[in-house]
Amino acid sequence: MSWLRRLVGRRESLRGLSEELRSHLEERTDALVAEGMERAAAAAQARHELGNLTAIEEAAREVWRWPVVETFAADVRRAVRMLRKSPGFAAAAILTLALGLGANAAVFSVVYAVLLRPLPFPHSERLVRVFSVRDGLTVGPSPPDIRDFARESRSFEILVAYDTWRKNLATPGGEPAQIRVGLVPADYFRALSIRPLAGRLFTEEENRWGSHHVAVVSRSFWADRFGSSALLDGQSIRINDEPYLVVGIVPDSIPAWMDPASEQVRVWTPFAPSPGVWDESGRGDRSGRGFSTLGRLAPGVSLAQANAELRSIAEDLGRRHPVDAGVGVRVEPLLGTRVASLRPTLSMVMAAVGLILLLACLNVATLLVARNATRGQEFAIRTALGAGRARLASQLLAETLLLTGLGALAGLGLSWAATALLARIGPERMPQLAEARIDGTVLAFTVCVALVTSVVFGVLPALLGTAAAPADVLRTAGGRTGTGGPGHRTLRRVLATVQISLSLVLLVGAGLLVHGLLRLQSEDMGFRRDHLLTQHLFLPEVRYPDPSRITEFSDRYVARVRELAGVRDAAVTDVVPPSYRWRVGFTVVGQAPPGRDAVPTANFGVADAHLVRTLELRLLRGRDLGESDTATSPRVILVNEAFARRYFPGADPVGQRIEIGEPGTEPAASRPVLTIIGVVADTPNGGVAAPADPDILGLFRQNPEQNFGFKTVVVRTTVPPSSVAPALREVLRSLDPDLPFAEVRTMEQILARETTEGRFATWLFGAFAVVGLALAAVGIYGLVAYLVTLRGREFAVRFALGARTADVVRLVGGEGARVGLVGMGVGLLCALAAAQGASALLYGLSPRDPAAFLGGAGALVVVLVSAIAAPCVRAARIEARAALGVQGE
Amino acid sequence: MTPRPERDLFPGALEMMILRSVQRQPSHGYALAQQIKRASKDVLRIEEGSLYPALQRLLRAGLLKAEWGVSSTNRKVRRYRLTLAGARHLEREASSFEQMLSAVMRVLATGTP
Repeated sequence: MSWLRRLVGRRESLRGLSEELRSHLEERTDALVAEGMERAAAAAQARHELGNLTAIEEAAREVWRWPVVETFAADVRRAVRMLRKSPGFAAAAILTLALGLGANAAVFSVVYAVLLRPLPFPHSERLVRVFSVRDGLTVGPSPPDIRDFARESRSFEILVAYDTWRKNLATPGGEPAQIRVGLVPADYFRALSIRPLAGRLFTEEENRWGSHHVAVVSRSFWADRFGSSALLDGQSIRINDEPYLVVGIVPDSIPAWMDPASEQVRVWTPFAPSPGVWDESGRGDRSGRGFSTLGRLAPGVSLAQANAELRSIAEDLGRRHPVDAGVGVRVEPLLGTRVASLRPTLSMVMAAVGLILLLACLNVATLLVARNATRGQEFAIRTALGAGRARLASQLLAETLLLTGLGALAGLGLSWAATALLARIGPERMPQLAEARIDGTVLAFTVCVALVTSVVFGVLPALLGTAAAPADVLRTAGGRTGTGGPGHRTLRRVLATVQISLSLVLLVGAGLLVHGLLRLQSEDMGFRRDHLLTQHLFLPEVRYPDPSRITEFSDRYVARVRELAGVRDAAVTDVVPPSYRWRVGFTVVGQAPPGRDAVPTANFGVADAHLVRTLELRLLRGRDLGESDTATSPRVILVNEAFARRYFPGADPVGQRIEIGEPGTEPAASRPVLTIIGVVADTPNGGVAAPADPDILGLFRQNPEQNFGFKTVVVRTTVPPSSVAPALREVLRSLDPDLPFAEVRTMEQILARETTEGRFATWLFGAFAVVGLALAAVGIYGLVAYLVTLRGREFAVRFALGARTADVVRLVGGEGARVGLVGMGVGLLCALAAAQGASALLYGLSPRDPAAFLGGAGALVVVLVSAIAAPCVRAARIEARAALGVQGE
Repeated sequence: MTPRPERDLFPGALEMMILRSVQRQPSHGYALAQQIKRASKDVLRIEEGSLYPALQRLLRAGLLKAEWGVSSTNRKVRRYRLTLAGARHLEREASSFEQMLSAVMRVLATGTP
């Protein structure tokens, strides 16, 4: 702390100096006047006696100077002069560092936003989610389970189940819209420490079915729909055609990533998803969509304690309720769910950006080594004149720090732009990215990285640059050219080799990602992807209370759509590839009922009879669903190949019958029996990359218990699919003007959305690979060009003695080729080891995909050959006389 | 470059005189200059300007401390006073100075014919 005291003392002591000197002069003048002198003469005399004021102040200031810092400042000034003398070197080094540091700052800003920044809630480390687990799979917990957990455990201050649903929303005078509505109890907000800005949260009574027609909205929703200055005064909104009284306004502080669909929720109604949700019959309700949970741990309770306590309660529940048998439980920090699907992308991008920084540092180190080698003489002379090695190293370090500082500044500029871009790329699927920005933490991180960078990669060249004995350097250099010793050559070879291998790792990574996406694009998905438009439809229960009304409206709507110009066919369905949501257990009629833990399951989707034709889904066996399969005829279904393979291996499933429902949950008589009439090709049903699970496709008119108000309309067009959307909207409006025309997307858009993470990683990786390739090219070019400079005189002698051009080119090219080959060999091995980490983003492509490896290596070879060729040409053009002459003069 | 204050004294002498002076009575810059001039009976030539850097040196070394006050002529002045470290330093230096001075005197005495 002595330096701090000195700093404070310095300010304190110097501050009064001028005043002190002035008062000295006045006092002396007064004294002289008192002795009888004229005032003007006295003042002059006083000033004369005191001496030069500026000099005195300067001398006083000198007293406080800090020798080390002052010397270093001088070094930095000298470094600035040196860099200005070689602008090419300075620009290359600063640009390289700016790329490396800028990319790191940008990626760190994302990593910080997604992984590290605390959640925007007080004591957020105590916020958790609870999941039910069966057979290692996460199955959403049922509300009665959560209620029992909350009641019987002591680990939680608050533990709630909640949900979000797509619903139709209308406000007075506004266009009908489809939005996500949160179904939450008041404790949901309390767990997040959110207090209403106006009004109140829900009461316990309002969480009961029937008295749930109240809503809490976010401040931004309120401002959009009612105006920010409107007071809360009995306004209501219509959700699914039912009025809901707005009772409270809350801040917009719940981030979009907390919603399972990554949408910002701005309207909440009480948690009353269905009349029977709290009944015992709801306890097994975890097979379909699952509910979300949010808990706040009691103070002092650890995650492990909470997990242990809930596990024992879950075991107890399993003993009391048969449907809970074998259902485990897991408590996870809420913070962990923020990363979720981004984890593989982030790890890959972080690794890549680290490689880029390493490459950039190697390049700057190479530049510095080369530069210091040519300055050998300067150092030798200064050493001979008495400069210590530490002094020289300190000066070199000053240059490095200056370079890195300027590089970091430029890099921060780059990263600021890059972060803005990153935050804009994937907000729909990756809302976490929207929170990325360059803030104090990112700045601090960049400064630290820059410091480490300059020390590590500045010190090595500095030591090498100052190692040689001055007499040797001065003697061998002959006073003309600066040369590097063998140490330099080896070091530069190693640096170039490492660069080449690192850039190959990046290239292969980019190749794998690109190939994964391309393969996906051309992959046979079992249906035709182009010229397909989808639109979501929600028929509210109030006006469409029973399945027959829903069927009737769906049929009427889709029949009108089929008549539109540019439309070849259309279908209404509740499932569209690449996702399937409703999973059912079933038994095969005629087979022995399976045990509880081995119930066959499949996705069960229902549509009208046009779906197979509209999707152009390949029918492999049997017949399609048809208009002859009516509401009253025997229930028929199609199954996919995966279904046939798993449940009827080696046999023809057509004609077989299945019973829907898990044994023991319902009386056998009420279980629907379905007959398989055909087998269709597999379509992706759990995301585009995963292998297809068993699917069942039935008709909603035959399966009223699964005929709900939410449907998707699929349209096969002969014209660009988006162009029929306006006509579609008109049809819908003419049939029911209160229904929102929502989620209109082409199939290509849906599939693109599925691969957001992959495309995000691919773009970044591709950019990094290009930068890395450029850096490696510069590295090997520098090495070979350096060799030509260094041995130019020797080549000239060789030419003079009759060597052919080919010999010299072989000599130069050989050096480049050796380094290049070793670098590529090492790089291939590293890439093989690292590729496994990318498998999550390859959409089923093998991480050892030969095309990616060959492509990456090929690109590198092309670039390396051109980088080596240029100096070879220069070597070949050396003219003996000119080279010797120039050197001899 | 900064012109170093020229000293007609050997290094450290001015500082010692300041310390001694301040030990007798805390005083401000002008008063110190007059005191030293008076005490040395105008034999020692001190450039007044060199007093102030010397005061800064002593402040930095922690041998003096300064405080603002009002002089007898009713001016706002910075008055210097000896710190404990300053008193100890003066003690040590004064005795070593005396030893040195007597040694010099002995040498000079043996040198006379």
